[in-house]
Amino acid sequence: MVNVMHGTPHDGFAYAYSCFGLCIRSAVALPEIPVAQALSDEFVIDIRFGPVPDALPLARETNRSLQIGDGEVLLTVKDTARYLVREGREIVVDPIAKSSERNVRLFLLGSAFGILCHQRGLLPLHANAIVLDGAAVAFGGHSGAGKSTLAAWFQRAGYEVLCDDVCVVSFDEKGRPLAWPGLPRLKLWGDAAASFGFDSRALEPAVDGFDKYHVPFARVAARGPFPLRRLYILETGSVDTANDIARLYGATAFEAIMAQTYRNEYLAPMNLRKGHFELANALLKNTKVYRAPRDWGYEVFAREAEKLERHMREG
Amino acid sequence: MTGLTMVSIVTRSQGIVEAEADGEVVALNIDKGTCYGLNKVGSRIWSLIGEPKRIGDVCTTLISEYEVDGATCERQVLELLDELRAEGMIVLHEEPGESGR
Repeated sequence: MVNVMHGTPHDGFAYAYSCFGLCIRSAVALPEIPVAQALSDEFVIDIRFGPVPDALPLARETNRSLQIGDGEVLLTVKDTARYLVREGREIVVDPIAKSSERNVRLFLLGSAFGILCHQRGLLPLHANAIVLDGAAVAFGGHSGAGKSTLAAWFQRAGYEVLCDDVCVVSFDEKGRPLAWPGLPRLKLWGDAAASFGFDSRALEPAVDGFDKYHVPFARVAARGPFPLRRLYILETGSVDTANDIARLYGATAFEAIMAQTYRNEYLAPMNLRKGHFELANALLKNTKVYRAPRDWGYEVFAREAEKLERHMREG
Repeated sequence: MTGLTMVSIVTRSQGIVEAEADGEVVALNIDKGTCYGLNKVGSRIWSLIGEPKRIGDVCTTLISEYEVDGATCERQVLELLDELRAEGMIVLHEEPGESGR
């Protein structure tokens, strides 16, 4: 272990952070990530800012926004930045002139970190997670399914929130899935933030130009990681069905993991479908997956959240 | 694509990765990204065609293992294998010297 206060063996990294089970050294401040208490020698990720090439030599043809080379991926985000993600341990950021710094960090901590996780053989899920009896319970679902609003509800109900939006899962030496603390904030739309009593004028915007905000966690998440016990896939229910929570098995469960994998569109071009299938297999040996259809709307939100809470506590 | 018959020889496609979940085989076609779940009997058929196998021989084995009459077995096996072939999970195996069926 290296004490951050006494500097690191490598110069040029003024900041050290800890997130997703990774130690992150950065040349620039990344206020969204928790500061590292101590910097481990292991799992060190370097974030540099500097020029990256327009194109990767010998890149396999994909498209203009994503080029896959040998051990490296070049991601281009229009009007924002280009990100070169190398060997699962380094990201070089090349911002486009006059782009929003906040948005440059948003895609760094989102898509670019998603690529880095895939390179490292981690399983990033598009989900939040809370802590229950020393284990993690994750809630996934498509964008707009109400994941973050549900996390806000659980936080208010006294639960510890481990992560929101992206839940990074690693596997221990026995192949058991572990969920790591993520960015310590909820990403809420303005109306959802208001419904929980937050004044959006006092919040940091999540994205410049959108009515979406970062709400810091009420308490710092425990250090973790926690064994991932369950994953619920939130779905918008139908008035025609009973909206019962149902366990998923076999191919349906695999497909659910695929659908819930963060930045899953990068798996095929990165030649990682096989490795990802094996991660999904390891996950499903230990984690129960459920589909959770529910009524939608503020007036029924608490009722539906309580239904989920009862289900996850009933074991 | 001509249909399969009892004398067709089939085997699993290249580029398939599989796992066992809840006692049943789940196979992924890596190129297509499609997942295919097999029930208990389907999983048994899958294990039988790990090496190229004549479909008639697959049926003979199944008839000896399950309480099923020959005609029903043949119909259901062909139905499943046609589906697996359409999904790209299995291929018709061409024996050396054969010029396609």
